[in-house]
Amino acid sequence: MNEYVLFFFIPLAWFVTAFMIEAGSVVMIPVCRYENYREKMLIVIGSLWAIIATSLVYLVVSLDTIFAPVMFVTGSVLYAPLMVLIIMLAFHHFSIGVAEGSSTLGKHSMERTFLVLALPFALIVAFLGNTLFTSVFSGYGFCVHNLLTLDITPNYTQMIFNAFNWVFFIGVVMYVVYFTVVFYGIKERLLVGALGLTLANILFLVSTYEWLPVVFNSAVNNAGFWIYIVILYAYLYIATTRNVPFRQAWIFLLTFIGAMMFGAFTQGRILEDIVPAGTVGPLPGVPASLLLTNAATLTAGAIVLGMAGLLVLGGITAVSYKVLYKVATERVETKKATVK
Amino acid sequence: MSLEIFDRVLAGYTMATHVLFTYWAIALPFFIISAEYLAYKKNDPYYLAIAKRWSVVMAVLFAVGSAAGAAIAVEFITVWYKWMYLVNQIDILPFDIEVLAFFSEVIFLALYLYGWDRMSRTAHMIVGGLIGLGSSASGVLIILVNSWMNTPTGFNIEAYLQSGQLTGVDPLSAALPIAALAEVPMGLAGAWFVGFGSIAGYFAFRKLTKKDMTTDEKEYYNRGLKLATYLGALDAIFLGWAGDNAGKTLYLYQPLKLATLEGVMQTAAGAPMQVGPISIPNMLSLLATWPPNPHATVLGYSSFVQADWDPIWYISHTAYDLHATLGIIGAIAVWILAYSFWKQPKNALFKAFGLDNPAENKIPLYAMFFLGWLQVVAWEAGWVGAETGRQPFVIWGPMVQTASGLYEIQAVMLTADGFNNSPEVLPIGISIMVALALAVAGTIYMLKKLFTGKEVSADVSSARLIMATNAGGSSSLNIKRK
Repeated sequence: MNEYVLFFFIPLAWFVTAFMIEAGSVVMIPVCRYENYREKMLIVIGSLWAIIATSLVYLVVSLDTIFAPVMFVTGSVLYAPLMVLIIMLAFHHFSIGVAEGSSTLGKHSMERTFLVLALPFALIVAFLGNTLFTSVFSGYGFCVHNLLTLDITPNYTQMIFNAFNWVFFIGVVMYVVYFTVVFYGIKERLLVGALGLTLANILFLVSTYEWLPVVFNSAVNNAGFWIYIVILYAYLYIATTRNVPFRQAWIFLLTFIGAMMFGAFTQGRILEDIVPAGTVGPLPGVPASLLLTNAATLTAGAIVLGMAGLLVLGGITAVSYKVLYKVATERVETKKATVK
Repeated sequence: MSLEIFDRVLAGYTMATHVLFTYWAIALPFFIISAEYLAYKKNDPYYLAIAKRWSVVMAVLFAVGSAAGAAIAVEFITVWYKWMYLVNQIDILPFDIEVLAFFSEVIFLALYLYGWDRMSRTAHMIVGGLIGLGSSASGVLIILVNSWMNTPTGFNIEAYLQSGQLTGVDPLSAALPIAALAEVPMGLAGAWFVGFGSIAGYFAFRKLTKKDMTTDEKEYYNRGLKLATYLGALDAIFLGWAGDNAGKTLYLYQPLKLATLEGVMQTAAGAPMQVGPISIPNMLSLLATWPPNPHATVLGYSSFVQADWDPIWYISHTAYDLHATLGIIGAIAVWILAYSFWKQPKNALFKAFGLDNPAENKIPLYAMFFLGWLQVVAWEAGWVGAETGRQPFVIWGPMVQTASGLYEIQAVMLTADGFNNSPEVLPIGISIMVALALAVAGTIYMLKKLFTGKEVSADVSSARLIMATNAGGSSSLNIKRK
């Protein structure tokens, strides 16, 4: 696979993984009746929203830099879900921003109200993001008139309501259930986590078998994939029954690796269900490398984006999250001590 | 309304909403750390209370501003995707670097908000300064792309105009276009001036309207007013130079745009400056040239082919006049007010206008209130002037002389060729506009609600306690203190 195509999966995987933490809390807040975990979830969301926002910026700019010609796809096919996504994100940002302000001013009930208000918008953003993702890789929703000139029009009904989109999204939701149980170490929900992971694996395998055969075949024939699946189950048990140092960081890393593996298994092919094998190479679909930006801009841009990935995402994000999370936890402990 | 017009209105509206918050992001960090510095230097709890309260304002405004920024980023790749394709191919480097600047802003904002009493004072102020540096850098980098649209460089333009093929792409060269010499200083100086001016306007408003002010409140608002005025006065020096420099740069490198902004229909030696109905002879030639030459020839629309005339030049010219007039009056006013705060002059002329004590007299307070907030109008008007003044081009090109002797712009892209003509853009675009309006209105409402019951006096008392503790005590988190 082209190295720039593979590089693009880094900001994509990062954003997806970071967003899962927030999305996971949507799933688990109603499921978890334990006040202990709800408080922790609210702390995490409050600490993470800025990192999620910047990850999205990183993703969009990476898309712009690496795949300049994709503008003709975003502009003529994907514009509607992208624009709706931004409306949802605006409300999401607004709610989180107000929650943060409330938190700093000690208005905790307002903080909680607005964090809960932000979460449904996060779910909608997740669904729209999934729709865009599945549409690009499968081609559902793309009406191709001339591939060479990127003369493509959208079919939004097909884009949103195709079976692949829903099966894959439910698989993602099931994985988020597992992720959240592990992330927060919710031992009371160990079986729920195991069920979530199992359903996610089944749904991912079934959907890719049916609609993304390149991904399916790459995955099942890769020993690393199966080892990774075993590790996920093992870590579920360890994270919920033992006190694991850096528990959250490990599941974050595992999920990030999983998303990167998915990217690698695509072998850089998109539109797999509408472009038959043999049209552009032996595999179905179109190589994404055909949509790369010119070499000079790509090289210069990739250096800067790489720096952003290494220096900022890796280093400063971890430090600031640690600071924010630590401060938020202290505040909760102080509040509990005051109540007692 | 045609889709071309709607797409332009949508982008203009989203940008106008975004820039409404960007000047806060650029100016507020410097205002806040100045207050924090003064708090520690003078052992003054009022300045500390200013820094703490305004840092919360900064956080809320940042969230909404970044939402509008995300909206415009998505509009670039959906509504104006044909233009964005070219930007991505040639001039994406400033956007890439802006990711780093934006990250810095966000991360350091979080560290600043939560770092009170958890890091040393110096470290905390440095972190605050880094927020300002990040936001200012973000602004500069985006303006670099805008500058490239005015004077595109970094690729073989002639080959592209002839064949549509992109060759000779040099992203480093594209990142530093000549128009940046005009736009970057103007954008930065303007953002700071609008920020400081509107902050002063807010403090003046509170002084005018708050009834039964306590001593603590009075001291708080007076200090905020004075600090914002001093910072505005300092920046006004930079702003004056930046405005003058922008005009001179346009004269050399984009004479057609200068003609649009100044409403110059006829090429003339010794061109007058037209401000509304007022015409000042030779003034435009004098100001546009260096060394100043009141008889210099300024190109007007009569020297350009009619196809290149801006069809809405009157909007651009009016907006520019409004921008320049408000800016100049604002700068003069803020210098006078800063001088008055500094010297508290007692002569009759200053006393007649209440300038012997500007924080307590109605005339200077009303002046600060109106002129401070009118800088927001100046800011928006400036951007309206600049962006409507680029029509009919979205990416300009070289200016060449035709066989008839007239000049023409060999544009890289006309606006008419860049928009998205899909009908779904209309309803979704309207939804975006409504959502942004709700977000702005909601932000203002929530800011008010956040501070309800959070009186200034309480924050001042809290600041007093912190300063007393720091004078003799130690931090429970074992952080070094000065």
